[in-house]
This record gives sequence, C-alpha cells and structure tokens, in this order.
Amino acid sequence: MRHDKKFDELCLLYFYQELSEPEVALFRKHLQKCPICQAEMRRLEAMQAKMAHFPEEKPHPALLANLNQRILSAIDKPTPETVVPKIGRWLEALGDWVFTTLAKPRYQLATIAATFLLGIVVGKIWLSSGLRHNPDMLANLINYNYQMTDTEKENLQKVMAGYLLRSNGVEINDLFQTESTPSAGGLVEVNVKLSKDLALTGGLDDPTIQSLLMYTARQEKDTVRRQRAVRLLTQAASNPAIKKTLTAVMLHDELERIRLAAARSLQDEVLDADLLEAYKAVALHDGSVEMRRMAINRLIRYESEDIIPVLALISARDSDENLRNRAQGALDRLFVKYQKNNSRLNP
Amino acid sequence: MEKDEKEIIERILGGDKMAFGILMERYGERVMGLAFHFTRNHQDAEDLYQETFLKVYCNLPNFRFECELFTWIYRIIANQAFNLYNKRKRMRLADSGEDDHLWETIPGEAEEEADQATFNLALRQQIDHALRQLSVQQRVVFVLKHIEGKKLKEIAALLDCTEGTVKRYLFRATRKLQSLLATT
Repeated sequence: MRHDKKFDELCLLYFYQELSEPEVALFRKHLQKCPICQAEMRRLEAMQAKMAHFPEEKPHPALLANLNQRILSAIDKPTPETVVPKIGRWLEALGDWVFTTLAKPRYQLATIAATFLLGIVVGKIWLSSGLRHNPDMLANLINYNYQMTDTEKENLQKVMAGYLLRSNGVEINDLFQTESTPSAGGLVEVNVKLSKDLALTGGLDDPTIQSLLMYTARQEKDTVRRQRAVRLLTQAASNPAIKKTLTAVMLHDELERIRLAAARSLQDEVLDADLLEAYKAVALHDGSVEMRRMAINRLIRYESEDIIPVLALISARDSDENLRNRAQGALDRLFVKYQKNNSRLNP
Repeated sequence: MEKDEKEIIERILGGDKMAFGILMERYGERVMGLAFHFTRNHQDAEDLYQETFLKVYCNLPNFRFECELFTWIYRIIANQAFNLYNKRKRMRLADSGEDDHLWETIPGEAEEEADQATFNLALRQQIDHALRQLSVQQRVVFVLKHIEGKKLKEIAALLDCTEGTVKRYLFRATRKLQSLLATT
C-alpha cells in the first residue's frame, strides 16, 4: 500500500487516541497494509514502554508544608515596598507578559510587524537626531530623503566617501591644501573619483579627510600626491591610525623621499614596541643610507638594551663606514653605561 | 465544582487567608508534580510552585466559576512555567535545588524487582535527559498529554492557543523523544 504523508500525522493521533471513529477505521485499514506506519507504531509503543518505567518525583510533605507556610507568610505580611522595587516588579511583570504573549505562535506575524515598525520609528528618531551630522554615521544614507542644507550635503559626501573608501570603490583624483595655516586646521581638498568627481573639503582634524589622506599615502600610485598626503598627515594631530599609516609608509614606500618624510614625522613620536621594530627593520634593511642613519640615530636615542643586537649587526656589516662607526660608538657607550650600572648594583 | 470548594474560595475572597492554606493542601501535590514535570529541576519546581499559588491568590477575585478550579490553576501554572523559563533564559540560571533531599522517587509501574534498579536508574536518567532537551512549550504539551492524559482540545484551551499549535508541539516533542530514547 502506498504511504501518504498524511498518515504520519494520523499515526501519531491514532497513538494518542485523538482520532474520530471514522478516522480510526480508515487508519486501521491502512495500518494493516503499510509497513511504514507499522514500524512507526512499534517505535511509538517502544517509547511509551520506556516512559512507563519513568518514576514520578514526589515532594516530601515537609517540603510542601514549608513552601505553603512561606506562601501564607507572603500573603499575610506584604513587605512594604519603596517605589523603585515596585517599578522594577511592574517592569518585570510587563516583560514577562510581553515575552509570553509574543512567543505565542498566533502572534508571530504581529511580532514581526511590530519589530519592523519599531525599527522604522527608532531609525526615524536616529536620523532626525544630531547624530546625522556625524560623518561616521553611514546610517545617514538610509531613508534620508529631504532637502539637505549645505552642511548636511558636505557631511553626506564625506560619509559616502568614507564608505567607498572602506569598500575600495574610490580613486583619488587630486588633493591639495586650499588654505595653509600652521595649525592642524588648515583646509585640505581631496578630489575623489567616483562615477562623477566629488570634492570634499574639511580640516585636517576631520576623520573623513584623515581617512582619505591615509588611504592616499598608502595606496596612491601618483608619487606627488602620495608625498603630499604624507606631508599633510605629518601636519595633522597624531593619532594611532595616522602613526600606523606613517610607519607603513616609512617601511614600504618605494620612494626614498616619501619614506624620509614619513620617518621624519615619526621622530618625535613615542617609541612603542611597533615603532621600535619598524626602526630596527629600517636600520638593518633600508637601501637608503639617509634612512638608515635616521633610524640608527632614533634607536641610539632610545638607549635601551633591546637595541644592542641591532647595533652590533650594523657595526659589523653595514655597507656605510660612517654608520658602522656610529653604531660601534653607540655600542661602546651602552656597554660602559651598563657596566657602571652593574658595578653599582653588585659592588 | 464541589460545594466545599466554592465555600473555600468564598472564604478566601472574604479575607480568610488561612482558607487558602486548605486550598494549597488540597492541590499542592498535583501542582508540585506538574511543576517538576514542566521544569525538570527541583529548585525551579519549588519556585514555580510558589509563584503559581501566589498568582492564584492574587487572581482569585477574577475566577468566574466557569470551569473547574484546578483547570484554572493548570492555566496559571503553564503560563508561569513559560515566564519562569524566559526569566531563567535571560538570567542564564539553572541552579540545582537546595532541598533535593526533600524529594523522593516513587518507582515506576514496571520497577518491580530489585535487580532492575540499576537498569531503571540508567533509563530514568535517559528519560530525564531526553525531557530536558525539549523546549518548554513542547515539554508542557507532552506532559499534559502523555502524563496528565489531557485531550488536545483541552490543552489548547488551557494554553490559550489553537489545537493545531498543540499538535505541532506534541508531534515535535514525540519525534524528539523517539529519537533520543531510541539510542538504547
């Protein structure tokens, strides 16, 4: 006999004695000839046989008496509540009610619709708040549909550029400083090529402008623009991202003058572990004597035991005699210094 | 509804709190049995027991005498079980009971011979584990059907949902238990 899927349900309902008489007759007739349903019935009966072994757990009368006493005490002596726990309890009850109500399958659709509506309301509030002026908020792009002010347009452009920058969908056409001031706030213009040209204007403290400059410094093919980006980054107030970018440029840029510009801008930075390693790499491997000299000088200023192996290597094998001598001199001074320290510690 | 039950309720509603003690003594064991089946945890069962009776006391003025009192209590305990489950899920708590020694295991029907004790202990653990794998909705429906012997229609009325929903939970619970218990 052919087994139809509807018999799966009938089989369970038959097992749980939930079928009407005509359905029982129909199913029994089917059951006699269907090996699939017969096997299913055997499985259900096996499960029931196992469940029959299941012992009940019965609480001790003392436990129930104790719990009943607790309940009666709670009823008898309602504890005076201050406003805060009362509100907490109401909120908890409301939360429980919402959870249990929304969890019911019949309200699932309503729950989805309510969540969607809530999303729209929250989104609207978000967009109409001051947060939309933050260039980092890509959310501004969504459903943003009214006449924008010039400032808002500028911000939106920056947001777009920032987004495209992160998704590698942007090409830098040109960048220049429109207003040169000694402060970090001098205006910089970066021309970004999208489907059409987009000009962004912002101070060196503007995160989008900074992102564009960092991108240009690392990725731009045109050497003039790359160098200009590095120079502008050196004018901007330093932050970890800029420091990281300049370190990368110092290590990897193919042009010596750009590497030098980056290295010079890093001269006054705090020598953390990353920068120390970068300087060591430059001192040992950079092809430019000037770069190596700058790195060695920076390492010597550091005056730490960490640099002894690097200085030893340079003094032994650097191609430039002046650098070898400089490294050797620094090594000697370090040895004297550490000998003095040791004799002071172990007289 | 029994006459004395109505009297008890009226006494409670009239302010006689001790009459509520009589009600708890009458239904306490059944409520606790259900609470344990629903939660599979002694501590949770005790919490559920207390929350259920407190809710019964608070909502008794709303009881309309349209159904049996215990049917009404059933509804409360099932809803409280869902609440407790949601609360526990949010708090990620699953403490074992402090008063585990105050629970005793009553042997199942088939546990007649002492030499079967080890086998039954393993089987009991297997069943307990399997029941814990069910969602709280599946477990409540399965307990009401399989252990309490309720009809699907009654369960739907108790849980305030459709019969189709109850069927779905029962089928899923049965399938899950079948596969979990089929391993030995």
